[in-house]
Amino acid sequence: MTHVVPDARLLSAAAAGDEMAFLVLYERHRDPLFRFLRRYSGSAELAEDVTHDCFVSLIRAPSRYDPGQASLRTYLCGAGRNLLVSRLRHEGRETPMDDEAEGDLGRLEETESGPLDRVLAREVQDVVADAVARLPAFQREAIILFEYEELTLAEIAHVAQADVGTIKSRLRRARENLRRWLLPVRQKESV
Amino acid sequence: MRAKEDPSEDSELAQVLGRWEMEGAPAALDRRILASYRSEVAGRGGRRRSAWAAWPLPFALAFGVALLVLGFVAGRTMPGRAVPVRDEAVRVAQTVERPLVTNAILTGFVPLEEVEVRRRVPEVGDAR
Repeated sequence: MTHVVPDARLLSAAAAGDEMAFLVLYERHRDPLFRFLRRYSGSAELAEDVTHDCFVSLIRAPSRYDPGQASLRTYLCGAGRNLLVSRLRHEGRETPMDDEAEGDLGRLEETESGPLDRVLAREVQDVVADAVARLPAFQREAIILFEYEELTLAEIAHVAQADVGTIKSRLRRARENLRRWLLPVRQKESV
Repeated sequence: MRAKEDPSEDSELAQVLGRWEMEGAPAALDRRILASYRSEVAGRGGRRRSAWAAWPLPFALAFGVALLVLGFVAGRTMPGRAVPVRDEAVRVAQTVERPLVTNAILTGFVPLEEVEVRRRVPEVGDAR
């Protein structure tokens, strides 16, 4: 039976200078945070920078994390998401946060007359990545956190600073979009 | 259990989405974060040390000033050094109630009741 040291305890020790505690904490949360940011931003470089900044700010101000409010993983995803959005805004690369699925579907159909026609020539993975990347930012973060990082609706709501009902609505619209865009893949998968 | 809370979950779509695999953070990030952590902790220790190193002088000054203030306050309130109440009352009385007429001024003074006053009645021939 293994004894898992709670994140809050590790954080407190790490902030006091215990490098081993920091490494355990970092290894526990590094990959989920990096993957979320990488999928959300579409940039490995940006995801790396933001992951780095998240951990450094956590060590600088450990008291900002309240274990009573959320898990450390949820907290880090929220901090990473905010850092990423402000970074993109600062660099003028802000992705639209528009939550209206109808408009985005329309834009996709107009500008991308058939990106999925090339599905046979490309890897399924790339097509899925493209489809997720084309989602409006609110829908994208919701679907990534739910499908890939397996956060609960309440946790996603905490990260996105929205209520659970809004998250459900975003997930529903994201799925509607993805079903349409990924139809060729699904058909190919079912053959 | 998590799926039940989201009625729009689509297992078939989830399976397709699952085809997008993602590698974990690169090793370069590990080295970078560890270096930043060490620098942060060392910097914090350095700041703490420098704060302690800078502390004695202001501490000594503050301590000295505090001693002076305490000494002054104690000097004003210690019983042995205080002016006795009776002496103080006498001093005030001596200042405020100083007699206006001293013994020197009264030299040769004859009380009024001991002076014989005679009324001189004018005679008839005096008017001329």
